[in-house]
Amino acid sequence: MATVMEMPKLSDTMSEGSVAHWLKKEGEKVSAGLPVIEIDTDKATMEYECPASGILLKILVGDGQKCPLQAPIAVIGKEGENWEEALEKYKAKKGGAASAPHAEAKKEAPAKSSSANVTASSAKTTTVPDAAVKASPLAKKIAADKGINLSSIQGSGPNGRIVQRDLDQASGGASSASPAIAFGSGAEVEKIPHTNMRKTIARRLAESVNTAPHFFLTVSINMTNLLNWRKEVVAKLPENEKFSVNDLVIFLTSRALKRHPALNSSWQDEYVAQYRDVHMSVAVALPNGLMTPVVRHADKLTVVQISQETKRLVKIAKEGKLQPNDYAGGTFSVSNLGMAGIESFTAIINPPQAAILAVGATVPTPAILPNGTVGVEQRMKVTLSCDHRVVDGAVGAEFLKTLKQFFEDPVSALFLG
Amino acid sequence: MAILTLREALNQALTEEMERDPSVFIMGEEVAQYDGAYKVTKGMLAKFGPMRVVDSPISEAGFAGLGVGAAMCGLRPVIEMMTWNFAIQAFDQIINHAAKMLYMSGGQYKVPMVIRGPHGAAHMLGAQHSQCVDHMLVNCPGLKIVSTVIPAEAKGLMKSAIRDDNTVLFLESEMLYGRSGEVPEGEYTIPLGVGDIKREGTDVTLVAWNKMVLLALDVAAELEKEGISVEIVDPRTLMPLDEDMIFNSVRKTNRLVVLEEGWGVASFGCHIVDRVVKECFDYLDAPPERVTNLFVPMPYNERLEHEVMPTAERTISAIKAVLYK
Repeated sequence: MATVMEMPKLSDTMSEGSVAHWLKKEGEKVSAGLPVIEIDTDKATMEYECPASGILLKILVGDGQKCPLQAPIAVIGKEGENWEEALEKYKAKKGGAASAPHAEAKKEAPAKSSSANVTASSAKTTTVPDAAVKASPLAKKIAADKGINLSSIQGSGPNGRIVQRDLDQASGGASSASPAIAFGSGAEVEKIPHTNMRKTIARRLAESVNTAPHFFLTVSINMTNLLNWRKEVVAKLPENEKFSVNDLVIFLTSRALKRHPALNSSWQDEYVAQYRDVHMSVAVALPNGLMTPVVRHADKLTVVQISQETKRLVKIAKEGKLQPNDYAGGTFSVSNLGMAGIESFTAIINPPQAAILAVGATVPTPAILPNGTVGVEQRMKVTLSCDHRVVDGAVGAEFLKTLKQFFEDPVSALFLG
Repeated sequence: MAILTLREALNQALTEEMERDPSVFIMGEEVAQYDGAYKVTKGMLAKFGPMRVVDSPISEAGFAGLGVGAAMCGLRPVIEMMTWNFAIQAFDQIINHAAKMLYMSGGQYKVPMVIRGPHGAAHMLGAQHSQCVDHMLVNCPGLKIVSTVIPAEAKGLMKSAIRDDNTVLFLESEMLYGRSGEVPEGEYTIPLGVGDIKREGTDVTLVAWNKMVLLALDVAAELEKEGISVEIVDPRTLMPLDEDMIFNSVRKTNRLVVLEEGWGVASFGCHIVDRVVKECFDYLDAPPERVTNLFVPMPYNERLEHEVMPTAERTISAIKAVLYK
């Protein structure tokens, strides 16, 4: 009996999958449990295992093609088996057996809180296979002819059916409504299609800015001691244990968060979820977007461990091979543009987290030294973006006060962290 | 152009054909002495004599069968059914003999016969006298079926029907024998299998035949006031059907409504919708709609009769449905 392989849901935010590359060709042998396909999710390109052993009879969704989640993408079976028949049976079964969309409990960061009455009620997502776009045959034909993406159009017919007039509005309406010179008119245009990752970034960050009321707190930190101390320590460490200023930022921030759990939390519909553990999301710029892999239990790791974990995550992020487990469930984020020479900036909160720390460059700054003379200090500005629904100004300020103390007197982190 | 009633146009066609071809003769109840129940054969007995205009007893199966035999022997009978409701008696002759003879005799016998008469609701004649028979006959291979109430078309199509070597069933309407229209002077024929665009339009294709054409024209005029442009396609002959004309119209308007008198279950309108969905699928912007008689025996009561038959109101709402208005 042949097996129909479906497009898997590989991340919480994934709404459709696209096939990056089949590792096997039609007619080749495949084995259950061994990678058979690379799938572009909204976040990364991931290898996916074959669900059954046998012959890859038919590839239904080829390289570069997209399809809804749980749509059939291939048929695997015995040599010479009729794949069409297997697919028909599969479809009949799917249609007949009232295929209940299986609900999947979304794993939030492990909230071991015993006191808080946290139920998983709001942390459930339901994955429903994307229904085919409802459109009249004519609308489908026009869309195909003109290259219009029907999924971007709101249908005005019964049950949201897209009909001819909706397409007329989509193609002609915009231009007739704005008689002024169109955006970028006259310029030559290169149309860069949205990648799934770009779409996810756009959606999540727009959602963050539009729903979480942001405010920003900036503090300037004297880094002179920390830099000197790091220089001394790093000099004595073997190559594979050397750590960066950014590793220290993650280390000290996670210690400060232990003292201010209000910042290590998220806004939920019914409650504020406050996390005991610190899972630090680290913003990593990639050629095609931005990822935030998570250093888990950052509050329990040494600087060297954080450094090694960060290096590992950045490496696989750059290879585009992060797994959902690598980037899901962060409780707080750090974004560092210091290495790019940015002195200070404000970051957008990584939803549903309550805050993000934007770290600028360390720059030599003229200052009045403690002894009253004028000198130069190494100063770094950090800006905390807070979700005001969760964090008030004073709470954010207290956190930054601790952070400043830890940075300026790193030894105190040993006692206070 | 002369203004003639439907009955006068038919009379003219029959007279001209009988003058032209001595093998044509007329037979039916009251066609001779009484000049026809609806006066279609008025004056013909006096002109052609009792050998060619023959009164028959009340025996539809009998004189339909006599027609089949006469046609097989080389004559060209025109059989009048007082109404097609009575012809149900003669369905065995029509379906089992007239339609199949050419095939079953291996081409040795032709049945060049016309059976004509009114069908559909007339006016308060009750359930047994008000049926549309087109869907009962159209699925039997071997028959040609004409359905028109426009005087000029009736004349041209009747002449073609008489000259055709197959059995042609000619469906008229009792209510409209007295309705007049322009009829061209002189000799002309209209080929079977060629439809007619009764009105050009751009928004929706409305297919209608027989007396529904008149309702369609009223509805189109009404909707024009609202800025809706209705194209009316009249196939005129159901078999053979001018499919291309329908397809071309639907490809232009992207919407189809079929307006037919008669019950909607397994009707001829179903066949049109089926063909259009198959051939014009990518041109449809809405599911086709059909307007038919309500699925009940025709009431005797006049007001109820009007309710059961397709109304302007129901037709307009079907058109608006396919326009998503």
